[in-house]
Amino acid sequence: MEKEFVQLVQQNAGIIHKVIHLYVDHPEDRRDLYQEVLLQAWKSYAGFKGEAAFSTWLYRISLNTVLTFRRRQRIPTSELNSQYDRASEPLRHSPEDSELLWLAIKQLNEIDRVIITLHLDGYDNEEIAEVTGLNKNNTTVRLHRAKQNVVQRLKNWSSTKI
Amino acid sequence: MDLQQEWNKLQETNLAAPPLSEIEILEALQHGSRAPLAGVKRVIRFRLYAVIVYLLLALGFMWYNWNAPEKLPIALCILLYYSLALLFSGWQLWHLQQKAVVMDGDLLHTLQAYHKIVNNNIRIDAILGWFIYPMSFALGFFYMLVRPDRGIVDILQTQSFMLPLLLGMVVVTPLFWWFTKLVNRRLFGDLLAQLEENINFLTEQE
Repeated sequence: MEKEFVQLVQQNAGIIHKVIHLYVDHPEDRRDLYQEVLLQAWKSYAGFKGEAAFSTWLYRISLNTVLTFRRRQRIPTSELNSQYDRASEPLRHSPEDSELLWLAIKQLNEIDRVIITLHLDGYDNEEIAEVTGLNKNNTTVRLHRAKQNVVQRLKNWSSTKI
Repeated sequence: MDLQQEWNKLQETNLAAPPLSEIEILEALQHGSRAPLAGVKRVIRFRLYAVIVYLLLALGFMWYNWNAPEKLPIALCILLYYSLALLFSGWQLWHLQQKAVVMDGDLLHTLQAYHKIVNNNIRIDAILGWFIYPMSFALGFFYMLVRPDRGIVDILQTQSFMLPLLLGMVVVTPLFWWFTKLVNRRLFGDLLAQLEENINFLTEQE
């Protein structure tokens, strides 16, 4: 069972990596959380019946672990510079659009980040509702709002680019 | 900008996970949990050990005062009191082990379950603060005053003894209650605020 678990985790390690980076900026917290997600996944693995895909199951474990973990409140150092927060200031260099997208997502509130990330990862509204516990209507409304929010930020940033 | 296209690009660049070796995974499984719930368990376990130490001290008192029968009822009270505290802390720890939060459930229910458990334990700690410390103080006070020529009834009837006892309890009780709250706020305050914020957001109706 351990070998099978290791293989599945290796194939889906990107999910853990993505969820942790979505919420945590501090390298020590990231390391702790990586271990914690693996530990929680292993503890719950006996109950994994395969009703949902392993990737969805691991998404749930990662999200639940990260959002119930007490995180340090520190200013990120490794992420893109927080100067982008201040839309009034022009950007000093031109980052990739994908980097700006990531930054825009990271500025959403914690739940909206999950919703839009799951959506961009190809989950439909019903699956997003199952992962988050929201009802389907709320999911649709929130996803729409989160997308609008991201697009608006991207527009603001692109208008301030030199 | 095409969000989906940029997202896919991001997965291949900044979000690309470094390969995870088997050894790294197996090593992670050997570590103890650092989740807040493990912290709650550690706090209860610490209290349990403290109670065991007090219980041993109470047994020592019993043995030490074996030839001073007037002190034995108080020593026995202390012993019983800490036996109850031991049972209670043991039960609390056992109860917490049984109520492990399912981490593969949906986010809302997991956050709610987590919040409930952490919050309940903090509340129990605060309630215990109202009983354990003043009771220990009162028992210690009586223990100190009891002598062969002065029993508990005599002490209870002497106003000059009762006044410092009451004053002491008035100071000790809120002091320890405040201290317990302070420690819990430092340990779990941020976490509870974080959980509440996300629960509220998930339960808000659109």
